[in-house]
Amino acid sequence: MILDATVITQTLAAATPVLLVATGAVFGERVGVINIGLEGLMVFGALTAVVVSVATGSPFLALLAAAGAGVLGAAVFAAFAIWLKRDQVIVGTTINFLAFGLTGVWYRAYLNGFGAGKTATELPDLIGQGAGGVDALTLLAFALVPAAHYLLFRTRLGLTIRATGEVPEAASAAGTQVNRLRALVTLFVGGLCGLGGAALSIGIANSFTEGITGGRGFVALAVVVFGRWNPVGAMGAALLFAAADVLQFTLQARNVWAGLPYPVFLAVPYVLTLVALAVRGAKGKSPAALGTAFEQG
Amino acid sequence: MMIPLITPRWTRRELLSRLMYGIAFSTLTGSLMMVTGCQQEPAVSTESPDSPAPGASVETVNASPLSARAFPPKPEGVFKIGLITPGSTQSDTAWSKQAYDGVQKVVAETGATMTPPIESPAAAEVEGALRNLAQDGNQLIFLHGSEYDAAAAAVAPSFPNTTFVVTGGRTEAPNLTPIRFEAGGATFLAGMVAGTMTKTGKIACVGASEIPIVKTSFENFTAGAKAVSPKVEVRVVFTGDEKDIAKAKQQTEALLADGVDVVQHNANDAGRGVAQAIEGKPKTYFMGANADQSDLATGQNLGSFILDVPNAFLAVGKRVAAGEGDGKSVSAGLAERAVYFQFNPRFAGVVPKFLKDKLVAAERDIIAGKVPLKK
Repeated sequence: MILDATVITQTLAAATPVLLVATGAVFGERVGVINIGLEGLMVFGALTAVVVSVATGSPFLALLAAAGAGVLGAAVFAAFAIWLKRDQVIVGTTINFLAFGLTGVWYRAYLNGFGAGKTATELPDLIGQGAGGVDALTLLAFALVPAAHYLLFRTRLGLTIRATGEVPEAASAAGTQVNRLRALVTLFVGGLCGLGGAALSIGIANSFTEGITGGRGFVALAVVVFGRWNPVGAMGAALLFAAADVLQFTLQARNVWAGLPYPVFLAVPYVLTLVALAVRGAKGKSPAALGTAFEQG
Repeated sequence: MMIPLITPRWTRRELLSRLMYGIAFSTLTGSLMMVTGCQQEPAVSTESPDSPAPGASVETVNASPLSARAFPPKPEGVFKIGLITPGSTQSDTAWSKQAYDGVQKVVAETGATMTPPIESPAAAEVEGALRNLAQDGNQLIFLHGSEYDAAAAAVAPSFPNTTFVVTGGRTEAPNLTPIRFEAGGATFLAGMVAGTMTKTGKIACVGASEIPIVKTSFENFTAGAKAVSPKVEVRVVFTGDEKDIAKAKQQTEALLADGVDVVQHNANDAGRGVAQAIEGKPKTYFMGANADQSDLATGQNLGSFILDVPNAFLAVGKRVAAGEGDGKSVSAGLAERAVYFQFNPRFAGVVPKFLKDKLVAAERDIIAGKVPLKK
């Protein structure tokens, strides 16, 4: 039997980092900001979580710090992309380079300094244990989805956010401070990216390494598109991707189709997600003002 | 009224939509290409190392085979050593860190200085980086991995005064020395340990990519396990990423869930994820790779197969420092004690004495050539 409790909890754990980041990115893109630097913000969060967890022994303080690191990184993005109105894609790319460079230097200094030989305190499991465990961050990630959906589609703030991403001029005419709202949402997205990084480093791996995120920030960007800029849709896509990954772990581990070369297994999540996108079709439309700067009149 | 000369085919909204889908598609297909292409090694250069490069001097070309094809002279002035590694020399606690330690050892003994290492260069950058190191006056350059053999063979003829050393390399030249680790003996012994210690009869190997050096280590591990327990089942899995600790952890959890109770990793940095998964589950055992990794999952760590990279580097480094480099490959196997299996002294369980005795006997047989190993 392929489907058992471990497979389910593993899928939830694997989906958590991507889901946190994607939920944030739904808001970011809905308000009209495309941030390619999500991966970089995750790396910031991942390392900050490990360092603070080692320093204080408290994984919950580490989560706060990771979110803070994400917000700080996002503030750099907001300063250049929103305040100075530089091209968002280029600023996002720069954030990625910056994050990988800085965390690399910082991690080496930490390894040779007070982090030598120390292990971070892992985020405790609230339900179950080990491979069958679910931690607080996973619960938070999934609890956020209905909340985000409600906020985006059932509240005034959600309407303002969506209007800002579609026709910022109209939102502005209705009294919205477009750039201020965009900056605030960007910071919020940064916080979630920081948590997403922490979900990897102290949620699953309990350590850090340069390149630990393995492209999950970019997968989150893809997940937002599959989810058609909708938190529930993004959750579905994140779960599909994670489930496919866990499926290939399980197939390899149980020696199913042992004759196949292993890259075939590794390709399963990507192929499945590509097929899902093809089947769903490219009907969804991105927010109309996505990636554009706004000149407050 | 102004009529635009060219009517745009797409509205901006459509254009952005397409851009977003483009990002999504390229992320997925890019990742797909990475996971399906990552096991490929660069082609081995079949070019004879004796064929002169365009920049080689006329004397070298006309000289008789060995006597006059000058070996690199004794380094003069500041003896500088360069290093190229596939991973981080700080966080990957085994493979790449060992190379760094090896160069440090040469530095300590010969008074040389070390140029900051070049870590995980892209395949296309290796040759350029190597030329830069040689031009900057590094008289000895270590390239830590069989994947750098072709680049070293291409660059070496242009810099006859510099010695190039390739770990796991195949090409020999007066200034190009391969260090050939015969790790098969040690991984065979590791397999014997795993095959004896398993209670469930299922053991596993977790790798990142199936490069030759990892593939043969797993084959010999399997042979060792089968030698002590013919019925043992060996699962060999790969995660595709030597830095994705989370993936390695979840892959190992999937193995443990299916009853595997001893796991040998050979996934560099990602091996930490393997240890994490083991630590969460009692009565399962971890085995380290390439260096003494008893710090990982300490209580459940049976031991590690070890390649003594630092001593191999030191042996070559001292020869080059004395001007005695001769381009001959350095063989490093069980007999030279350059590879071995080391039990973890802090293992919380008990390793039966008969197993230790068996290992000593097997080691003798391997050195005597009585055990067929994959190379």
